Amino acid sequence: MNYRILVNHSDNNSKVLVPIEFLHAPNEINTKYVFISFGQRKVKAEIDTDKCLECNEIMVSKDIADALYLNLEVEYQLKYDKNTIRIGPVIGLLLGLKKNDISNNLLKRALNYTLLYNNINGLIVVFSIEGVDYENGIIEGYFFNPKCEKRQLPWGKGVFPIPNSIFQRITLDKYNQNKLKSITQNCIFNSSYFNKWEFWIMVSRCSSVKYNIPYTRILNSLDDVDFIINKYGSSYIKPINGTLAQGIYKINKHLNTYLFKKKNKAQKLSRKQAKEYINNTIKDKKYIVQQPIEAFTIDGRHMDFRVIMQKDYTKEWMCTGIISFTGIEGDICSNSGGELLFEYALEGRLKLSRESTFIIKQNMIDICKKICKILDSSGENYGDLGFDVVLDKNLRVWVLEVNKRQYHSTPLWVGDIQTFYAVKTNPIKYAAALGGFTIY
Amino acid sequence: MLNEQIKISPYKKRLSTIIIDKKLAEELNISNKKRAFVSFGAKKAFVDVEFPLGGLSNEVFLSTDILTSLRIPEYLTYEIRIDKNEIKIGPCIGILISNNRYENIKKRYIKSFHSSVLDYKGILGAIIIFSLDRVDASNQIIEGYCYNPIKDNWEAGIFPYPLAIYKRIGISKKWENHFLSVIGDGLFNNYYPNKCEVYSWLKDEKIISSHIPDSAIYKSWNDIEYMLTKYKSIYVKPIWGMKGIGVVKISAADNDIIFNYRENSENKEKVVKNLKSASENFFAPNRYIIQQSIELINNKGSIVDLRCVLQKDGTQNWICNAIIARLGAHGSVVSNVSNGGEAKTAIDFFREDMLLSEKDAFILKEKIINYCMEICSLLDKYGLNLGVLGLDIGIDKEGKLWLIEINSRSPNPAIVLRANDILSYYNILSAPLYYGKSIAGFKA
Repeated sequence: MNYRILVNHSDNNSKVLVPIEFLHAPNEINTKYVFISFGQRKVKAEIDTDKCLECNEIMVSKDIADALYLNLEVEYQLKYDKNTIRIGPVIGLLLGLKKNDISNNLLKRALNYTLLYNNINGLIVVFSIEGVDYENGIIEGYFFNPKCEKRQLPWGKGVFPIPNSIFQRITLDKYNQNKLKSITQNCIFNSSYFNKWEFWIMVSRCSSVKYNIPYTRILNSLDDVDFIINKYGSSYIKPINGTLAQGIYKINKHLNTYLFKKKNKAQKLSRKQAKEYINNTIKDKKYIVQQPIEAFTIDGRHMDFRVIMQKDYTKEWMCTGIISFTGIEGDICSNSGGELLFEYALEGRLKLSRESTFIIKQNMIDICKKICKILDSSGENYGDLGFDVVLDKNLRVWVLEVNKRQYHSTPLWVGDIQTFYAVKTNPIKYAAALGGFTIY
Repeated sequence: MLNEQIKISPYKKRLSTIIIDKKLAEELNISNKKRAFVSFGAKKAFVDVEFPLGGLSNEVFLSTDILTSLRIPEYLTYEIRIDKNEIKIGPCIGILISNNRYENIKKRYIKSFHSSVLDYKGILGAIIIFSLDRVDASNQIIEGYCYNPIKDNWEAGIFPYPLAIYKRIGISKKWENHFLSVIGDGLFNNYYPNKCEVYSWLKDEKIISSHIPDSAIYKSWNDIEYMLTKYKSIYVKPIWGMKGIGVVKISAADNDIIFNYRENSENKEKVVKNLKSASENFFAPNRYIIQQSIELINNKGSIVDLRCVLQKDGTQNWICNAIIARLGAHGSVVSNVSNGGEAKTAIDFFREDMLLSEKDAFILKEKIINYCMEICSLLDKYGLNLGVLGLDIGIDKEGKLWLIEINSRSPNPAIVLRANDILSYYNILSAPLYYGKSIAGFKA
C-alpha cells in the first residue's frame, strides 16, 4: 500500500499521527515515541492515532517534515521495524560529477530508470557528487515526479536527504566513495572499481572458475611476454584500465622475431626492438599480459558474448540477457560487426541443437554468477556487471573481462527493446530492495 | 566460499571414516575436526575424519561401510556443505510421480524427464524418480531411478529418503505426515487448493480482493439464479476441474437464459427454459463453483487469459519464468489451449494483438508480475510449501487484472512450447530441481 504524507503546519511539536490500523499487525506499535526515517535522515516523534486519517495517510508536524526534507509530491511505502517508521524508498542515481553534468538530455535518458515507478513509488533522485552536502546529510538533485504535466520533463529540482541506496554510474574518487559507502551502510553500487589485474588476483584464487579466465601477468618487461608465449604459444597485452578494445596488442614470436599486431596493423620487431617497445609502452601506463583464447570462429570471424549480470528485487545475481558479437575477419578484437541474440548465434551460426544451446547458456551464466559472488565477497557492493565472454573451440567458457559501467543499450543493438528496459529497471529494483522496500 | 564439487570414492582399509584432502578441509573450515557425521538425504552416520595432504582436492573417500549404509551412488558429482558437525553430501532430490505404478516409471515417465536434467551441472547430486509403492517406510529407503549424468540414463537403485520431494501426485495424510516426520517440510507442492479455498482465502485480502471474481459454491439452482440476477453473466466450473473441462457460461439475455459450453471440441449453445431442471441436469451440488463472469479482453472472438508460470528458484525467491497468452478457440467459453486454443508469449500478444508500444507492453508485463508476486507471497504466508504455480490472470476491458485460477497441481509447462519459447521451457523444467536443491540444504 502507498501512503500520502500530510503536514500539520501549525504543529511544531514533533508529532506523527497515523490511522488506527497502522498500529496493528504487522507493525504492532505500542510505544509512545518512534523514530521516523526518510533516506538517511531520522528524527524522534511522539506517535498518536487520528480517526480523520484515511487508511493510507499519515500526518507529521511541520518541524518533522522540515527536518526530514520530506517531499510531499509523491506517495511512499511505509515500513516499520526496530521502533522506526521508514518512509521511502529514496533511491539515488549518481550520474554526474558536477551539477552541470545533469543536463536535460541526461534526465530525458534517465527516464528509462523510472518505467516501473508505479510499482515502487517514493523518490528516485538523479544527482551529481557536487550536489552532495555531507555536513547536512542532504543532496541537491532532480526527483521523478509522476504527477508532472505531460510534455514537461517529469523531473523536479529540489533538496533531498541522502538516499537509502545509490546506483552509481560514474567513477568516483576514494574520498567520496568511502564517504557515501559509510553513510549508506554499503548500499551504494557498483561501489568500487577494479582493474584487470585486481580482477585476476581475486578470481584466480577460486578453483572452480580459475580455468575460465585467461592466465594473466602484470607486464614488467618482455620477459613476461616470453613467459606467456612459451606457455601458450602467443600472448595479448592490454592496458590494466582500458575498456573495449583500446590499446590491445597481440604478440606472436617466431624464432627471435616478434610480431606485434594491433587491429589490422602489424609490425615485426627484433628482440631488442621489442624490449624497447614494451618498455616504452609501460612507461606511463600499466599493462597486463594474458594467455590468448582461441575463440570459436565461423567463416574466419570470431564470436564473443556480452553477458548482462544484474541483481534485482531478490538481491541475487541473475542474467538479464546475452548478446553475441561477431568480429570482422582477421580483426583481433570483436567490438565491431554483427550482433545477435544468444540463441540465434548458437543455433543459427554455430548450428548447435536447442538442447546444447541451453546447456551452454546455463554454463555461461553459472560461471558468470560464480565470478559475481567472488567479487561480492570482497565486501564491495555490485549489482550491474557486463561480462565479456568467449567460447573456445571446445565450447569452453572464458571470461575475458568484467565491466563495471556496462553499456545498458547493448540489447538495443539486436533490437531487443524488452531486455533493454529490463536492464534499465533491474538496478532500480535492486536499489529499492537494498533500502528495505518492496517491489513486488 | 564457493560450493565445492566433489566425487566420492570408496575406502576399504578402515571403517566409519571420511577422508578429505587437507586443502579442501581448510576451504571448508573443518580442518580441526576429529569426529563428524556424514549425511546423504535423510540418512546420517558418525565418522572419524582424516585430512591427508597432497591428494586430489575434489575427491572425498568414504569407508565402504558408510557408503553402503548411506546408499551413496558413486557415479554422481556432489556438493559438500558443512553445518556444525554435519558434513552434507548431496543434494538428494526426489520426484514423486506415482502412487502405485513403479513399473510405469521406466515405461512412461523417464523419457519425459530427459529435458528436466539438461541443466544437471547446475544441480548435481542425486535426482531420483520414485513411486509410493516402492517406499520402504520401516527402513526409510526408496526404490527408484536416479539420473546418471555420465551415461545420460536413469539407473534403478535403492536410496535414502530425499530431503526434498517434488510431489506430482496427491498422497494420503498418513504418507504426508510420515514424510514430515522423517524429512521435515521438504515436500512440495504439498497442497492443491481448490477453487473454493482460493476464493475464500483471498476474498478478505485488501489488495487482492477486488481482483478476484465474486464466487459462490453451487448448492442448489437458487444460487445460480441469485448470481445470474446479480451479474447477468456467470461461469459455473467444477471445483476440482482442470483444462477447462466441464465449464459452463450462463448468461441472461432478455427473457432467455443461455448455457454455453464446450463438448467434443465444439462450442455448444443451449437456450434454457427451466433454469432449475437445467442446473440440476448439469451440476452436482457442492462440486461446482459459480463465478461472476468478467468481460475479459478478447481477440477476434476468442477470450484471452495469461498463464503466468511462477517458480521458486535456488534462492527460494519467487521468479516469473514465463507469461503466455492463451487465446481460446473461436467462440469458446474457455481459453484452455488443450481445448482448441492457441498460445503466444504475452509480450507478443501485447504488441501484436493489443497493439501496445514496447514500453507499455513492458510496463503491463511487470504489473502482471507484480500482481502474481502478491498472490505467491500470500500463499507462502498461508503455510503452503509451493515451488511451482500456474496463475491464470485475466485482463478486463478497463485494463484491470483478475485472478481467474490458481494451478498448483502440475501446471503444464508444455504451454510455453506452443508459444515457441523453448529455452524458457527448459528453464521451467529445471526450476523445481533448483528449488528442491535449496530445501534439501543446498541453497544457492
